[in-house]
Amino acid sequence: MADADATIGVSYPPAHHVLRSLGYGVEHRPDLTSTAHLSVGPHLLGGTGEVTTGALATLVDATGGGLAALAARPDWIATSGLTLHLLAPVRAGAVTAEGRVVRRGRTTVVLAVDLIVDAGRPVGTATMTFAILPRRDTNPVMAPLDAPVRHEFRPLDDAHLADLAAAIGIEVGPDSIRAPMSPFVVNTLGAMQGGVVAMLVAGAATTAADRIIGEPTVCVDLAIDYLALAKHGPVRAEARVLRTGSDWAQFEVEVRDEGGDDRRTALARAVAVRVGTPGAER
Amino acid sequence: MRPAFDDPDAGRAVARHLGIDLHETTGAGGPIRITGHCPAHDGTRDVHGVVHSGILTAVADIAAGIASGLASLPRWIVSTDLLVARLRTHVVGPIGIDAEVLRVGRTAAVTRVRAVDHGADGAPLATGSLTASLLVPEGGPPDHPRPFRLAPIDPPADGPRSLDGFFRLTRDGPAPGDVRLDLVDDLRNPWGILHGGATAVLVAETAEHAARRRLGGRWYSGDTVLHFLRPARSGPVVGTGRVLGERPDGAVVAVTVRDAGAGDRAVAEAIVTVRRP
Repeated sequence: MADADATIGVSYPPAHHVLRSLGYGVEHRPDLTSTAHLSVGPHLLGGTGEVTTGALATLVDATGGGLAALAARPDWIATSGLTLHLLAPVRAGAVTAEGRVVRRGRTTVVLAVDLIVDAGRPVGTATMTFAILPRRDTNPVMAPLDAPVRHEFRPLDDAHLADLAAAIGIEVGPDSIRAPMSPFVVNTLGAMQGGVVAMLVAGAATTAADRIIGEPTVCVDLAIDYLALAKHGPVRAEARVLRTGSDWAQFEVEVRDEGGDDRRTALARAVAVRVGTPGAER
Repeated sequence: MRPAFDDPDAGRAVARHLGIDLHETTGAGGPIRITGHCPAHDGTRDVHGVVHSGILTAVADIAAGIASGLASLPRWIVSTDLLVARLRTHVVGPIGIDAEVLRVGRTAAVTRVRAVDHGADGAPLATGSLTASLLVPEGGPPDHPRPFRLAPIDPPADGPRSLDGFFRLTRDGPAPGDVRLDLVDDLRNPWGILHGGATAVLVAETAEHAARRRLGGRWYSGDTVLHFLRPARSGPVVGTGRVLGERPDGAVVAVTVRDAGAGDRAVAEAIVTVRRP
């Protein structure tokens, strides 16, 4: 959710971490808006040749998390919800995430994050809700902004990844998808990063949709309620079909922490559509 | 203002219009659960006879809101995020509703809600969740007898009002493409502000109206992500929709709801995936 330079007193993320491997830069501004840029590389592409929904969700989560932490200061935050609606595929170039605070209340922060490419063409829109938590000594310290602050999240050793999902350790099974808990995916609360949970949700939905539709699909809608911190792992996502169309399917996805008494840590709904369906932008 | 919890009729007009009948069915040691049903009468249907998506969202808001509140006692709740996916267009009715609290934390509660069609062998109609912030209400929380019961109130002798008539909806006003809701007392909740269910109806109608104008033909709201931002107290309340794009499963519409009588401030934002019947 945040980084390790002068703004923050606690080092996060560590040297080898999914946010650095994602490879993005972000600017947070005093008016509580943020802009992040993600260069599309092979490590972000799925089997369809598009940037994966999970990677975009991680960009949204990271951008929104930093912004929400600024909005909530001096307190800290926990992600309670993330929704993402994709409008068009991204195969090359760069993605820009524009974040803004929609509301900062006593107990919650609501953000909107728009995803755009090619000087303004919208490819997605997201919303995030954060619970405001009384700060603890272990939380990063967010200094007030009186000028724009930029952060770069890059692999420290220039060892760019070939595949982000493989680096996380995501395993796709016949009925579920799972990933181990590791320092590579940890967030500031010691749990699995919200964007990685979104990757599991999207992966579970597309795996099930591929099977139902019989052709490659891509996840275009995510709506996730984060219920508890997944701290132990492996973390498992299972999709249950809610509805199917000729070119799409809708799922409810449960995320459970197998090492944490199989506790349900997130509940989501997701829509996956067939890749290359004619008559639409996608 | 102090909520009118002591007056059993205050803020109940939306529930009365829906004819909603809710019971607490919490099991021993289990999470708080509210189940019930409501008829799919003419006052819940659009001009094509289809049960309006906003009605399903409103029913979800009411049942999940009560469940969240009971689970949060001695505090109470205010709805913040309502996510509802509609799974069927055709509804026979009555509509069955089931809300189960998943989590109550220090600052928020999350409740899962599901709706089925009792007239179609219990076919799933909708599924979703409500996230609510916990608060300490002035004067304390509502004093509901337990187990909780919200009994239906007899409908008007001449039958329920139409959807547009009850929710005071006007299309293309004040600006082309906008949908206006006049904030009469029947549309207020016990807190005296615009009922969350009425907000849900306005959001769904705004999204569908925007899709009809931009893309032509009939649309209904499939998946709704509704963020309640601030209370609407003055009115009229105006929904503005913007079609963001089309996809194989429908179109994505952004909706902003503003209280025109309160400086035009935003009171809700939503993203709605609209689909063809």
